[in-house]
Amino acid sequence: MEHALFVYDDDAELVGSAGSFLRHGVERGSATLMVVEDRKSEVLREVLGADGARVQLIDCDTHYTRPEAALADYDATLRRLTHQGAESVCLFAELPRLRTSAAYARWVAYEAIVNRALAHHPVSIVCGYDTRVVPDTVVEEMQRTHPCLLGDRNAIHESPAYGEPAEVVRALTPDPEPVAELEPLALEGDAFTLRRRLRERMEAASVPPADVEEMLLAADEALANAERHGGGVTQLRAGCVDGQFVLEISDRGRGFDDPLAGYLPPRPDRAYGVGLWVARQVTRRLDVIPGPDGLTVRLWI
Amino acid sequence: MSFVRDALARSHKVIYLCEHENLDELAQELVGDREDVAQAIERGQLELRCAANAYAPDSGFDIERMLEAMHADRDQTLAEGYPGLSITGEMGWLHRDVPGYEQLPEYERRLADVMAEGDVVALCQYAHGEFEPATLADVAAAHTVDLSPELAALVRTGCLAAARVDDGQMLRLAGELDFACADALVSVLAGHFHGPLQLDLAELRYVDVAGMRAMRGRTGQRLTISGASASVRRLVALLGWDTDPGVEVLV
Repeated sequence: MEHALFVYDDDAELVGSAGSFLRHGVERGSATLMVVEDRKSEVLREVLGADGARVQLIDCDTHYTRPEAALADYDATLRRLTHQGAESVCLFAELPRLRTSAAYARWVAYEAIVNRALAHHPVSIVCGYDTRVVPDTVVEEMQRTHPCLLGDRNAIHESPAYGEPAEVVRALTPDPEPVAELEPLALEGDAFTLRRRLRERMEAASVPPADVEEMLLAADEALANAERHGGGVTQLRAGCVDGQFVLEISDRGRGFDDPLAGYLPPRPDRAYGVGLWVARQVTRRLDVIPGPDGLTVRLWI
Repeated sequence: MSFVRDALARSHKVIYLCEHENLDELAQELVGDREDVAQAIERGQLELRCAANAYAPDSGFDIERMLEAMHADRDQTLAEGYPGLSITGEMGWLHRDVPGYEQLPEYERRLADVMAEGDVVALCQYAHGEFEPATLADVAAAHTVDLSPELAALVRTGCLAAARVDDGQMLRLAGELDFACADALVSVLAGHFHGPLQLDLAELRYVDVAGMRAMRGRTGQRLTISGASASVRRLVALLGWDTDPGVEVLV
């Protein structure tokens, strides 16, 4: 995988760099994709001419809903293209416009994770950041999350500010605040019984049926981890916080110190972290909270 | 339901011993939109009875009377020209306050003997959590998984059942397959299913990652899945099996 940052401030630069990146991809026989807003796709298609028809467009607003979903979608798309016989993939991508700098924070972490999550795919990714839209502070942060910078005439340079992805994500992940509103849920019984009990609690809290199923699966995966790696579950707490249903699962394990846990797509040669990957995919948010007596996983739906 | 459908397809007479006293409601549920099931009820091939009345008419569970009644049902079924009798009973009405409850494991063992004669098959539907573990363990031991062509309890807790169908080529799973019972499936696959595996998951209500992984066995054997629910399909995608040449999910 190649993952380069492309910073620009007008359409001529966009056409010059991203346009020729995509054209080269088509000429080399790579599968080529652009994940951009409508206006920019039109600008790029115009300059690509006949080659433009061979560049697949993915709408950036529907693709970039949550970092977890974007990771899964990219992994699935790249797996599918390789499965269909593509030897290499060229991808030009831009995040949708976000209103505040704060809204970009999780996408900075996302860009760091991409370096590990998609590392095994034969893909060359150029991420466009348009300084007319994206705050300067965000563009600066993105230097830490891209190993390469795209320069004049598409020359690739190393990014001097590039940081180890796990460290970047750790620095960007705030320590979760305690949640006071939760009430204990009885621990007795096996997984089957706990699911039934949790379902009753969620139904009593009027959680929508689809969310109930998602939470049951995420809780099951966290329970499995607690049983297998955490020395068993010590406490379950559940309740509603700001219109979301929250479940905490605590064990007596020492936990793990991996900020990327659950963010890396499963692979045949990667047996660990699959349950946490699924749990992150189906919940709105998942916090991993190490404590003196054990590890707590907090699930939000 | 698969038990009933399979039995009807084999032209067996089917007796369904139902926990609820409202037999009409159960009939509607069983029929659903299936004309063949409705017809089977009409011509007497599928008969619904109240379980508590059948098993314990005087509020007591009597093993001898029960087996006697089953023999009588079998004789009549054969006299009516059916090749065999299939009986399925919901056992949730039976709890430790019912006199004779302690005879249940003995009953299941004797029932297995009756079934071994060949023209009767039985599926006992145990609701999870309503029986003491020791009782369930004995009951599970009486239901031999690899010999029975029908759904039999795969794990002691009774939340997962498995059956060989189609001459043993396919394994049908029913119930809930989670990390707590996934190892039981791995053992069954390792012991009885070698080479490419076909799984029918139409009646699997729930599965988690450990359960999905158990389906690949210890060797990651080729796997064909039919009857996949939306949640199974999503797990297939999240696990990356949708591009794994070793896995096929039938539409």
